[in-house]
Order: sequence, then C-alpha cells, then structure tokens
Amino acid sequence: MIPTKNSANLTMSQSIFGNTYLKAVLFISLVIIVLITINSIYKNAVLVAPQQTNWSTLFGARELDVAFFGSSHTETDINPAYIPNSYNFGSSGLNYKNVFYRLSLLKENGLKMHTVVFEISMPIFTSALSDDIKPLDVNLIEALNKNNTELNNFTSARKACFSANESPTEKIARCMPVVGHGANFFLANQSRSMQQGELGWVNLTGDFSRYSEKERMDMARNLRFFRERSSKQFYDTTPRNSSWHFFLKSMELAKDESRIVLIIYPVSKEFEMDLRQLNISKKKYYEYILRQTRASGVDYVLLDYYELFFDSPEYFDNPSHLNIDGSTIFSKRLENDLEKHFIIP
Amino acid sequence: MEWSLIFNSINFLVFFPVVATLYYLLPGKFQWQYLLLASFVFYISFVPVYVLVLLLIITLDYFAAIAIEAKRGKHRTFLFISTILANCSVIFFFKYFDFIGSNLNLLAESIGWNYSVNTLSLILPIGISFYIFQSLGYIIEVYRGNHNAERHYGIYALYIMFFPQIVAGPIGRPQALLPQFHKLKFFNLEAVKEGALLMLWGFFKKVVIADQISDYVVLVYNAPGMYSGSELFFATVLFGIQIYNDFSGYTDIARGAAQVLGFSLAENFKMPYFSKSISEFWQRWHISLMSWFRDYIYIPLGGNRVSSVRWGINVAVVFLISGLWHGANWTFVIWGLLHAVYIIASRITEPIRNRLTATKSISRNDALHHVLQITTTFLLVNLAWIFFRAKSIGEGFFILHSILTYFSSSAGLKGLLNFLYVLVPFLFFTYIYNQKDIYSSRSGYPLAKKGVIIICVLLLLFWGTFVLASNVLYLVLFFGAALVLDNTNVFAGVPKFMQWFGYFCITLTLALFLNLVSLNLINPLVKVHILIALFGFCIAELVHFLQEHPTAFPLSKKTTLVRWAVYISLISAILVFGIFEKQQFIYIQF
Repeated sequence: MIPTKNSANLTMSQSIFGNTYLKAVLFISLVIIVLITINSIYKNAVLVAPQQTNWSTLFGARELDVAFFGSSHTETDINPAYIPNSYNFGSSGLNYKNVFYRLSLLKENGLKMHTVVFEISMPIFTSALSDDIKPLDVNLIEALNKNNTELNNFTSARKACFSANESPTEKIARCMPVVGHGANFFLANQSRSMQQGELGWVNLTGDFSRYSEKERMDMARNLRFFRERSSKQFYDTTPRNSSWHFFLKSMELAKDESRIVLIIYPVSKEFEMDLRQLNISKKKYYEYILRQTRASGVDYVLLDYYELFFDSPEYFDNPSHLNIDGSTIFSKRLENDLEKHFIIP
Repeated sequence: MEWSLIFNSINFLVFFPVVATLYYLLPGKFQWQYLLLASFVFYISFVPVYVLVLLLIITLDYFAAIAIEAKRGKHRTFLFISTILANCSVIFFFKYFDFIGSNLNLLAESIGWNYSVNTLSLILPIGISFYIFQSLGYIIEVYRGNHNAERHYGIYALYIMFFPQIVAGPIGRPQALLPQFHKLKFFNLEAVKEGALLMLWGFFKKVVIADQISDYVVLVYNAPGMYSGSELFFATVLFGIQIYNDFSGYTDIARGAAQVLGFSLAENFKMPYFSKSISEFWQRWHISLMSWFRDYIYIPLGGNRVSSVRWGINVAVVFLISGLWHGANWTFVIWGLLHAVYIIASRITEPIRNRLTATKSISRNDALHHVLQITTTFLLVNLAWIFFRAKSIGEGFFILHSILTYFSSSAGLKGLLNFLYVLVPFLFFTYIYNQKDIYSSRSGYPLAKKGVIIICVLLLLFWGTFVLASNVLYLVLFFGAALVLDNTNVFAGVPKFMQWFGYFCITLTLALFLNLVSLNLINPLVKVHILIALFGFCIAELVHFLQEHPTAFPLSKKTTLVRWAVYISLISAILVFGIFEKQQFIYIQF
C-alpha cells in the first residue's frame, strides 16, 4: 500500500486516489487517441498519398522499358532521367521481401516492364537489414485495398504490430511511423524528392573525397551494416536469410514477361579494403550468388560495376553510395551498356 | 553498453517508472537501501568496472571526513589537503594523464629530446568530474565546520551515487542535499506530477531541440573549410542553442526524476541567454558548477576584495580551471580564458561606458538598452563556443577568422542585399508612421501631398510583394513590431537615434537568420529540423519566462482542460518531432 502522509485521512485519500486513477486512465487514453490520430494523418499525408500519386500514374497506364529494384544503392546510384522510359523503385533499407512485394503490386496493377534490373550488391542480402516489410509498403497495400493471396501471405499491418520477432523500436517504426519523423509533415510536398524523387531517384550531395584516407576507412568500418561484423553471417558466402529466398522468387515472378538484369553497384576502395580486413572475398561471394542463380534456371544479364569508381572517391557520398556527380556518370555509363546488350534501343 | 540507462533511452523509460513505483510501495525504512541499489544498477549500466572507482572515492571521502572532523590543528589541515589531493589525483589520472603526456611529448620533440610518455587511452568514468566535485565540496564544508561529517556510510554513498544526478549533476551541496536522504519520503501526487512535467520538458529540450540541431552542427564543424563565415556563424549559434538545451534538458530530467522521488536538486540554469553581461551569464549558466568555483576557489583566493590585478588573476584562474574541468584539451582552456577576458574587459571598460551613457542621456534601464546588452552578451558567448566545439585550437581560430572575414559568400552577400531591400522601405515606413498627424483630416496637410505619400507606400508594398515576396515578411513583421512598441511606449524617453539603432539591430539579426536558414543547407530535411528546433527553443524560453513570472500564466491554476491540452501537446511534440537515434548528452563526456 502506498504510504500516505496522514493515515487518519485514509478515506479521503482513497477517494482522491480513486478519482486520480480515473483521471490518469482518461489522460493516458487521450494521449493515445491523439497519437493515433496524428499517426493516421501522417501515414496518409506523408507516406501513402505521395506514393499513391507517384505509382498510380504508372499502374496500368504505362509500359516501362527498364524498372530498377533494390535498396538505397539502387535508389541513389541510378538516375532514370538518363535511361529512357525507366523508373527507379529502389528504396533505402529494402531487402528482397520488399522487392518481391513491390514487384507483385506493380504486376498486379498491370504495369508492363520490359526489363527488370535487380540489385545484387552485398548489403541487400545482409541479415542486418530488417527482414520484414517496410511500413511504407504495408500502408500502401492497405491504401490500395489489395486483396491478393500472394500479397496476403505477407504479414498484414495489424499482425506486424504484434510480430514476436521485432524489437520494441522496430514495432514502433512499423505501427507508429510518425514517431520521430514529424519533420516529414513539412516535406510532404517534397516527399517525392525525399522518398522517390523524380522517376524514383534520390540524390546525395556529399563528397567522400573531402575526408582524409583514415577518415574514409573509419567510415567504411562504421557502416551500420557492420554492426554484425563479429559474425560472418553478414557477408557469409552463403546468404541463407529470407531476402535470398525472395530474390529467387522475384526472379521467378519477373522472368515470364521481362528480361532480367543483375547489377552490382560501384563501391569505394575503402569499402573493399574493409572487406579484405574481414577476410571476405568479393569474388567468392558473387561466385556463389551467380552459381545459385544459374541453378534456378532463370536467364539474366550480369552488369558488374564493383570496381568502377575505386579511384574516384569524389563520386561517392559515403563508402557505398554515389553522390549526384557519381550517379550522373554511372547512369550514363549504364545507359550505354544497356544499349550494348540490346536491352534498350 | 547496450543496456545503458542514459536518460533518453527506452531502458530508462522502463527503469524509472519501475523504480519510482517500487520506491513508494516499499516500507519507508528500506527507502535509502532501495535507492542505493537502484543507483548502483544505474551506474553499472554504463561501464560496470568503473563502479569500483566510484566506491573508492566514496569510501575514501567518507572516512576522511570523519577523521577531519575529529582532528584539530595541523593534523586536520594535513588530512584535508591529502584528501583533496587524493581526489584530484583520481580525476587527473583518468582525465588529464594523456593530455599532459601528449603535451610533454610535443615539448620534448620541439627541443629535440628523445622522450615519450605512453598514453593510456582510458575511457573516462561516467560522471567522474561531477561526483568528485560533489565529494570535494562535502570535504571542504566539513573542514570549514559548516557541515557535520555524515556517519551513515550508506546515506553518504547514496548522496554521491544518487542516480538522477550522478552522470551530469547538478553538483549538490551537503547542507541542501544530505539531510534529504535521512527523511522518509511519502507519496505526494502534486510533487510527482510536477516532477513528471519537469522531466517532460527536459525530454522536449533534448530530443526536440538539441538533437534536431546536432546533425547540421556536426556537418559544418567536421569540415569547416567547406563553409563560408556566415554558415560557420550560423552553425556556432545553433551549437550554442544545442548545448544549452542538451544540458538544461538533462538537468530538467534529473531534477524532475529527483522530485518524483521526493528530493529537491539545485537549479542549474536560469535563462542564461537573456543575460545582460558575461558576469550575469555565469550566474545563470551551470549554476551549481560556477557557485562551486566561486565558493571553493574564487573567494578563498580573495574574490574581488583584492587589488584589480590580483582580481584579474583570480578570475583567470577560475576560468582556466573551469575550462580544464570541461575537458583535457587546449580548446577548453581557450574557451575558459576567453570568458575571463570578457569579464576583465567589462570591468576595465565600465568607466568609459558609464561616461558614454551619461553624456548621451541614455538610460540603462530601458528595454532597448537591455535588448542591446542581451544581444551583445549572446554574441560574445557564442564566439567563445567556437573553441568549445572546435576539435583543435587551429580549427577554432580558423573558424573565428572565417566568421570575421569570409562573410561575403554568395549566401551572405545575398542576405545583406535582401536586408537592404527591407531596410530602406522599413525606414521609410517608420518615417511615415512617425508623421501620422499628416493623415488626420484635421491636419493642414495638402491633399496632394497626402496622396503622393499614400501612393509611394502602396508602390513599395506592391514592389515588396511581387518582386521581393519573401522580404515582405520582414517588412510586415518589423513594421508591425515598431507599431506595437511605439504604441506601448516601451521605448518612451529613448532618443530617436537609439530607437532606430535598435530596430536596425533587430532587423539585421532576423534578416540574417531567415536568409541563412533559407540558403545553403544540405537538404530540406536538415532545414526543417533546424526550424523545428528554433521554434521549439522559442517555446522553451517562453515557458522559462512564465516559470520565472508565475503570475503571468499560472498553469497549475488553469482548468483541467487547459492543463491537459498543454501536457498532451508536450507529449505529442516529443514523440512526433523528437529525434530518437540515441544521441549522447554533451555534458556526459565531461
């Protein structure tokens, strides 16, 4: 029992506390209601509406020559303005579960993609990335009221809120995306540039070359992907997580109507040097990936740009993402290579 | 550590309510043991092994105080000095060993001596600067006979280890804090509510204001050579806002947590950026530390009851030690000494300033004068922050040099031009407004002349709106402010030129800020973060003002609806606009 100041007034205290408990419950309920309301407005105005505007112009209304799928490397490295009739569906932190999800949505809505470009850079298969659906995609599915069996096999938004495998912060990010992201309210009109950009591209303006060599190595070492660097699982030569499983499913989904291109994006020399310090061989890693991919029976074209900018740190924003300059040069190069492979006219 | 109980972590948000609830459910006689256990758990959540250092200091000072109290004469003084030295040697070992070693190495190298001191690269024990100072204060008070030595080891340990304050203060005084641990605490709903509200304000300052700004400050200060003087100045001012809200936010959380548990900790900040002089600033900033320096170093050295030269030396010593207390780096020494220079210069120039105000009939008590004093103090403090934040002295001087000389980047020049576009029509409007009698139909002003003036005003408004759209905002804001101020007679009796000078300063400051914010930021998200932080800062300072003037808006006397609206808005603002990527509190590194 909570000790009160004057035990002779126990009855008064009891009634005060009784009233207080009621008030406390009412207050907490109001806080929750307000937060849910703000969260709901956020999801619609900031997350879903811009995406809907963007994607609804693509659904069923267009054919794309080239569609790019992947994580932040796709999102920042490819500027579709240089590749005719293309779109960049990359998004930061995406793994292949999300890619499959997006691909399914687009095909479901009748978008024809002549060529699909899948990212196979190392980070996209890491278990360090969240292995579940980004809140954005969950919200988009709900907004579009899709009712597709394959898509419903994914965790629904409601179930995701109670998923047992998530940490509290991941749960909050999924169920209450407004928490910590209120600044995006003021950028809702610009959310295309923040999240999808013109034709999906997001540009980075940093200059990796302005840091000293030591600082660049430190940055490569401190990439957030490396928080699991103590276990080799991250860059294991045999990725076993669901991202890999959905990569194969994505290939399977795309193969009937689209040509498939697998792309390895440029990284900085410091990124490679750090991998070597971890005794990870890029060659062995990709040998495994490509061997497994060939075994799946799906035809593909491989474009490997891993070492393209090893001597050009000025093209990078950070150890593994290109800045505007790098992206421009890379996109032009990619356009030439796609032409050489008769992927685009 | 992954499970550290730093205030802005989920771990603490779980830890604290559990601790507070069990605290009041336990029988009173177990309260201090329970708090001691909670404080122990709190401390080991950072670097567990360093609890041994803490226990060493506690045990040493506990027994030393009892012995000092028992002794007399030379033995007492000897014990006292030994204890002080023992405490200082611990902090010296962890904090200054590498600093002194690296400087000795540099010195040896410069004179060609092949000598080197190995660095230890030790992680600083959390809160060591704070709890050792608290302990030293206790020893000094016992030695002076102002306080009895605490006989209860557990209570003394709790006095040092008390978890709300151990990490970054406020540094407590034994007279104020120790007796509180002897009293039983009973659940007091009002105190708990006030404490919780104070904690909320602390979180607001930390995650909504301070952490919003930090990214941009880090960006600019990591590569100062890439930025113009105006951008460096802007980043410096933002850092000043960041460190204030970070530290005062921490203090609010600490005081609020203590209040929930029934304890009262000393206030540490009193709207320092509204100080009218550097001396006043140091009476409002980190009050517990500066009062410690005042009582235990400055006054024993003679304070201001000595010759001017000796007084200057006393001030320099205090600020030198203050600088070193903040960190083992020459930049902190420069920062401290800069403040000493400010205070000494203020005293030296006081006769000149007094003569100037007397001959110009300028009152020192009017609002405009106060605004100018506050602005000047704010700028001086921010110039000093350059060295506090810079990574090295060279970088600090580079930034200072850039600010003073490289202001004319495209951003700065454009800002200046925009300001001139505002100033000219603004001065014209001010002139027109001051001739308001001409509009009166009773005035003898010819209609034609009135008409010309009105047309000029309309043309200027048209030009402002369609040619310089954004600057009409400045025009409207400051003309509006001038109208209001004129009508309230705030500047009554102030010479006209001083009024116009005041408007000039206000216009310049805000024009620069608004132009800087609109230009040359890395991406829109960073700009939004900064604007949110600046808006939050204005709200926070308004709240502080209302707290210091409780009759202006006594929240506790408002209806439940109003109070709840404030609380819910605060919680929502923290959750929606807060930055939750765990950012360390700045003062924890000290």
